[in-house]
Amino acid sequence: MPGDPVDKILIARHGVSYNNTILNSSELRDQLYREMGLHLPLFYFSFNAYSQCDTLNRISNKARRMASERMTHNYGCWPQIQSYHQEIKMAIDQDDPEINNLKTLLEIPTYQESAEVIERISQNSPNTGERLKAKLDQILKHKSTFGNFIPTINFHGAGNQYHVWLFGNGKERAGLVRGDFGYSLKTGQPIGDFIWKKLGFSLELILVSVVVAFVTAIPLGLRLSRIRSTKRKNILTLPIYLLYSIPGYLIATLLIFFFANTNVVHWFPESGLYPIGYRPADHSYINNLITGLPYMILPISTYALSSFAFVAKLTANISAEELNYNYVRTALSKGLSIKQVVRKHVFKNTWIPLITIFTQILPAAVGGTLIVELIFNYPGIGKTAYDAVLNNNYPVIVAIFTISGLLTLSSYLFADVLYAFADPKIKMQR
Amino acid sequence: MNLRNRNIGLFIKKRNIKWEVRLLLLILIVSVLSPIITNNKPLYCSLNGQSYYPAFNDVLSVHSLTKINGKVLTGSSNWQHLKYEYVIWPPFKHGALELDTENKDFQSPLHRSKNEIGESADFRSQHLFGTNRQGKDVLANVLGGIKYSLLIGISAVIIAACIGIFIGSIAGYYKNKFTIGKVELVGIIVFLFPAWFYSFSIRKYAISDAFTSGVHSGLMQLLFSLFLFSAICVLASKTGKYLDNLFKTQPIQFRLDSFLSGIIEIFASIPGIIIVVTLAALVGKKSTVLLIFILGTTSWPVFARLARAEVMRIKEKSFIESARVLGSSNSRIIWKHILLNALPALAVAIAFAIGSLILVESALSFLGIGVPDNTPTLGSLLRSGREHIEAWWLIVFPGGTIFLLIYLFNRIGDKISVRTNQYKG
Repeated sequence: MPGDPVDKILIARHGVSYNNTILNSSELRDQLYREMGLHLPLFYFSFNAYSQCDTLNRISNKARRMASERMTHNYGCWPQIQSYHQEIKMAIDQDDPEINNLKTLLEIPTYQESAEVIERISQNSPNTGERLKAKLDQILKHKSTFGNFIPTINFHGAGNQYHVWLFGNGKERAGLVRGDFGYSLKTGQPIGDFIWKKLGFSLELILVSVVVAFVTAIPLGLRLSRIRSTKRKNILTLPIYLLYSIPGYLIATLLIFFFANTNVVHWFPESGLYPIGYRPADHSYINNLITGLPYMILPISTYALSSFAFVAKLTANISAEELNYNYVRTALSKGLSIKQVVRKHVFKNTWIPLITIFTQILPAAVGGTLIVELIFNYPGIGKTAYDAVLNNNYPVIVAIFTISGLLTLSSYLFADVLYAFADPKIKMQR
Repeated sequence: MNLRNRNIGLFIKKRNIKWEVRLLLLILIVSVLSPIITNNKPLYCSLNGQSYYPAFNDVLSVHSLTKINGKVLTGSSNWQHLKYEYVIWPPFKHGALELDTENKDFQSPLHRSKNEIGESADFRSQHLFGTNRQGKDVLANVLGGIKYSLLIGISAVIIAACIGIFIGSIAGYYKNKFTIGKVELVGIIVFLFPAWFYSFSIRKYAISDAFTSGVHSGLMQLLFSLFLFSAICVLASKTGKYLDNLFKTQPIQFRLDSFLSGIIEIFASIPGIIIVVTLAALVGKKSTVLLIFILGTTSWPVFARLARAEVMRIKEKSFIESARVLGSSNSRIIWKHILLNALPALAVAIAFAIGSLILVESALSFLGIGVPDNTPTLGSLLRSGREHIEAWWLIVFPGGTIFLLIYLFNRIGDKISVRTNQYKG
């Protein structure tokens, strides 16, 4: 994982730039490190090499932690390395004049480079240099890397990061099961405070556009399926095939070009959800909806157009296949017109695949609208995920993947319930 | 229709996709040969009595450098000002990576381009499709972008199809009745931990060091780790099998299909584009090979599901039973009898998948994630069109090209899949 989460939260909370005194204060860092639960092991158990120390997580400084781990991997003698590091820390506590060099020494994993830095230290304070050099030589003397090749299992019990993330620790963390996703590394605020609102925006966008697409595409698909002449059918389905192949972001760019362009017509705003300076928290939900409506029309059209072609094509294909079955012939010979047959018999048989497609909108709310949201600067969950990825804001990424999994599961359940409504043959069975 | 004769010509004729395949081949050839169609380097030049073929070098590798008199020439104007004894230029004189400073800031294709002195240039130096803000020639970039899109789409699909068809066909063939020896099963489960330990845990630093020095060496180390992992597992399985035979233990049934289907479902439920963006950002390096690897390893569930269903369908046919009676092994039945008969269905999925992966690639380059910066891509041209909304040529040409590519692959897929779903009145 790139980036130090403790640094990020400190910057978010105290609003300081890098290299500030707050960032370097070790008490504050340690306190936050413990508060975030990072001093705990990752999981209920861990696989380690015999030479590795399993309490390295307690070191709050990421660079020092990595250096210790790497050094143990290189030399395989944890007790000697530990006493060497304690010697350095003691020297730092005694306000040695070479304090900056000593701090960098903690982040160096190899003997060669450490020896060079100690050389420099001993020019100013020969005493410290001599003691450090003796400890460092001890490491090289006890070097034995055979421990790297012996696997061990360590059990940590309930005091681990995964358990705290899932069930909380009974104090400040409530855990995922109680709706606590942890803190955003960028703003420092709890993720649960904003993620559901963002998901709501995305669901609003996707639900409206998919409903629009279904309402228009299904009648069209049914109409296309009962055209007899192959030539006419090919000509009429060509626009749908063409629309199906246009990427969503191209549709978005074209819509902006034609409808949000001062040179053509400027009917709709290009991006955002509200006018600049508008505070949605001050107004009622209905008021927000009305204010945001012109901003939502272009994103909705984009997504609706790309789903429209897909649904129309699917409906036409299924319906054309259904028309070959015997029940259609029976209905026709009963005296129904082909129009009535399609509307009353065939349509009902296209429901099952259409339900499968329709319930896909729940998981699609997370990833499917990413491009549309980015182009129109729409504050949905896709844009949140994108920003989180660019900022290495990994609690937010984990939260979004968790929500996506939950949405996928609920879409399966939703689909199964709807199947039972659509097809009387499908029943709940044990 | 039988693909076992390997008569691809007949297949193309029967499925009525002749024109689509011809057009696709034409696009493929033109895009691969794009450096000798439009380039700012000469096809052939002789300088101080020596011969050079700089444009042909570009066909073989993307970032080729040509040394002339010990000096490396890459820039735009370098080639135009050399005093050649004899020179043959490509039909159009603009390269994909060239920045034409005389014609920058969104030169329209309707506008006559200028040369270095400020006069209007001859036809072969015109920007036929216009330029973007930095003065990149749109025509050369569109041709280069097609090559890049096809490279990413086809290579990623090959990786995805290999993984997906392997997992899907095993799940579909053995179903939930996969019998395995007791010692073998226990051996594999027990040896998973040391296999993981020896191939990934203690090679952690080797892999991360290789990734910091370069993506290619990193991927090689990762592949070596994967090889080590599977080698240890295979060793455990073989030893277990030997011990099972030795002690004559009763085999037990393993619910292989439920297990593999669960894995397929888990991978299918991950939102595709977000995992690609996350992985690309996590590695932090922009590389074509890495992008192919990421796209290939995240888009296989489609193939796994399809292969599973197809194998389940074909397995019930009576010729499979005959093959088994004749003594064919399981792997031979899967490979020779089932998968060859499933090829038309898999070809449909492959065609659609190439189309959708080209879409994902162009979307990523449109957003500027994962794709190396100085590569000609269709998405990055479209992005540069968004800086200046009046520049219609930056939307129409790359957008139309992406559309054409995706349309061709979708059309091919559709036509292969066409069954008797025509209503005949």
